[in-house]
Amino acid sequence: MRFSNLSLWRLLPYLVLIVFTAPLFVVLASLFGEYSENWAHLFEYVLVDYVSTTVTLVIGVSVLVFLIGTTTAWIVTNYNFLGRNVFEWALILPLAMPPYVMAYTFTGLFDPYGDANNLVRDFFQLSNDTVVFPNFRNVYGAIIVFSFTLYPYVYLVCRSAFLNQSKSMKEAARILGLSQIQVFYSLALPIARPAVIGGLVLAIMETLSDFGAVDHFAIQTFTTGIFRTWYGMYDLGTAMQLASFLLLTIGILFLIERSARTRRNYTSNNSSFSPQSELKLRGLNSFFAFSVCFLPLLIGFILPILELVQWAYQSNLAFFNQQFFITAFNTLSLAICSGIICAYIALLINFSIRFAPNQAINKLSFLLSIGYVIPGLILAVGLVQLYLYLDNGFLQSSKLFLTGSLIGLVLAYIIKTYASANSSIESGYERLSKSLDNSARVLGAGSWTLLRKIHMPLLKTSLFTSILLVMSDVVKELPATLILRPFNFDTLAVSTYLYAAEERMHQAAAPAIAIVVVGLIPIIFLTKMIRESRVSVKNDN
Amino acid sequence: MTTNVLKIERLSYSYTGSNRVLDNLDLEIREGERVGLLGPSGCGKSTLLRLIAGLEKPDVGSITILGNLVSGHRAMVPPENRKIGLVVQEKALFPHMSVKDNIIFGIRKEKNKNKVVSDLLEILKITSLSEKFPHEISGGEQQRVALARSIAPAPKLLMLDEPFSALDQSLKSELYSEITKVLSEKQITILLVTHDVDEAKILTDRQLEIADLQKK
Repeated sequence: MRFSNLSLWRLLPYLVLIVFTAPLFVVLASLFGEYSENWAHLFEYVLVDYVSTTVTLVIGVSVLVFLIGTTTAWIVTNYNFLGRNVFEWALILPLAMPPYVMAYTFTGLFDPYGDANNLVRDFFQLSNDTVVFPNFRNVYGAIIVFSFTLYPYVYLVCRSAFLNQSKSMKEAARILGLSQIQVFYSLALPIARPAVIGGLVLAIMETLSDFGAVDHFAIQTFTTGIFRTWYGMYDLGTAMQLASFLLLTIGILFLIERSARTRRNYTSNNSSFSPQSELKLRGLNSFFAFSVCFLPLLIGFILPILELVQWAYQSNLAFFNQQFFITAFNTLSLAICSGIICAYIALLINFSIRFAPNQAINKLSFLLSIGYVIPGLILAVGLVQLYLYLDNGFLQSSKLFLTGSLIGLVLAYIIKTYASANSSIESGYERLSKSLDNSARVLGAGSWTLLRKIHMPLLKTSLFTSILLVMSDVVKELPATLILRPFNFDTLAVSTYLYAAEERMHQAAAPAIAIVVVGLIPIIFLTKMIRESRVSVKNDN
Repeated sequence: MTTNVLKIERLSYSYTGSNRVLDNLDLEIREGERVGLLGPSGCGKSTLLRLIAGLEKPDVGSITILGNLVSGHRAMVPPENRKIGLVVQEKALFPHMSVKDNIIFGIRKEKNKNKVVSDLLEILKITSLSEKFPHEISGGEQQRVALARSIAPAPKLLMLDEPFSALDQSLKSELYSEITKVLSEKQITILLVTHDVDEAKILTDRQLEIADLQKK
């Protein structure tokens, strides 16, 4: 019998699954451990604040993200107005802006002596104590920051859902007496509900995961609470127990998102489908549509970029010093290394699922992507505990091999970004006919030959895209890097955070701009897909 | 006495959660024989070829190739070790390889691979296409390449799964005569699956209905 090769491929996804989920189990296991006396302090003084602020933040972000995402998606899919073709892809640009970078620029703009207040005071010759814009360093400011960076999650799924809704269905509704706006909220939106829920849940999970923005605004949320319990009270156990509650909440949201994703299909394609027709807007209507689409873009991308450029300009490009280049080199090497390893792991996993299919791993494979929704901080908490255990117990080494090492950090990145790598490889494999595998195998190709000679050359674009997507995620990742990095090893994200923490915004500009530029990589791919999606919908019909 | 290239005994197969596609099927093919397997769509013809190729595992029964048990209760030899050829309707040429590289694929470790390829290119009248890629040649030419690729490793049994169904009639007639000539020259044992009785009569010596092979 020759099943050894097959067994290896069957085993691989399970091994990776164990490695990827181990830190989460470490965190959850803390719930069954001892509860320290710090819990009394947390209960009495801060836990209520953590919960209430987090809930307020989530509700506020959900409402705003829903309003911005659905409205802009409806407008760009149904109306033709000034700049529509640009807005269609430009509306996703805020995705390139990490919320913590936007938070830094917003305090730089709207603090009492920030650039926006100064500009208005100078222009209208107002006194120095006049403050025009409200204070952003509170939960409401955070709601604005998160909403205007995360609304593209809802925009993207809604646009796709609206684009696939039949024109004849809407025309029938109009004939039955519904106005254009009524068609939107009583027909199009309910039909797109699973997609909207999916997008909203992603935005909520990102909000719950954030550390940099809420820390900068000094808001007491669960993530800042975990960080303070760990680094302020030096109580890793309690920090892990706090993290477990957040993890369970995110686990529930993850399942809701998956369920919404499986139901998303009912929004589209029936036998009597006919494509969208766009209503041409003129005059005031066109201006109104333009303004609704321009505002999120202005707040979520243009203003922060202008502020970053302004900081860079004010520092006379002095930030291009040795420290910047060392930080950029560190970041780039980490990103490339993680990108290559992660993309090849995704390739091997997808290959094994295809080569040695089995029901159990088909059902469990989605868990491999769970790192994407786990806050970097929680992942770091779990990994630190795991590394300490492995270093002290298992490896019994006098030196710490994993804790505070680059290997440990790269593993964290791989777990966190596997979903990005997998999405590209998985869609590449979907386009690859199984008959190629069959032919190659009948012609004597074993598993490695099939992978090396057939799959890898045919999937090289997917592999490359996958590496770029991971690189973009790694460059932005802050909390996991902050905790797991080796001593004195800075990346662009850490450098931006440290400068911003000391209010040295001019120095923070260069690394922040570099992060945004790298963050634009996946946006370029998304933009291409967006442009092609409208063409394909037209061609299909 | 002529040996059996293929022997199938009491073979049954069902896809997960559905009725049996093949039930208690027996079949023997002797060396050098050319057999046509007929039957309507969905009767399990292609599934039978996939089972012989080792791309599926039978529920019950056994498959023996040249006296070696390749599929059975405890045996499952992977497709790459069965030394058989398979040509399918969609041709499945490797799009990133030239015609020549496609044909070489199955014999890449052999010393005389270039000679084998040039002979096959000549026999199948596709020498001028050797450096072209699959998307640069016509459907009929692609089918010749697929056939050359399958013949190159000199399989003991060559299986053809409706290889001409996507081609027009004039092209089919042209290919029939050329392929019959090549297969006779190479003395390859053939198992052709088709729903076209005329095609089976032209290309094979013995025609069988798949329903008749299954004992009730």
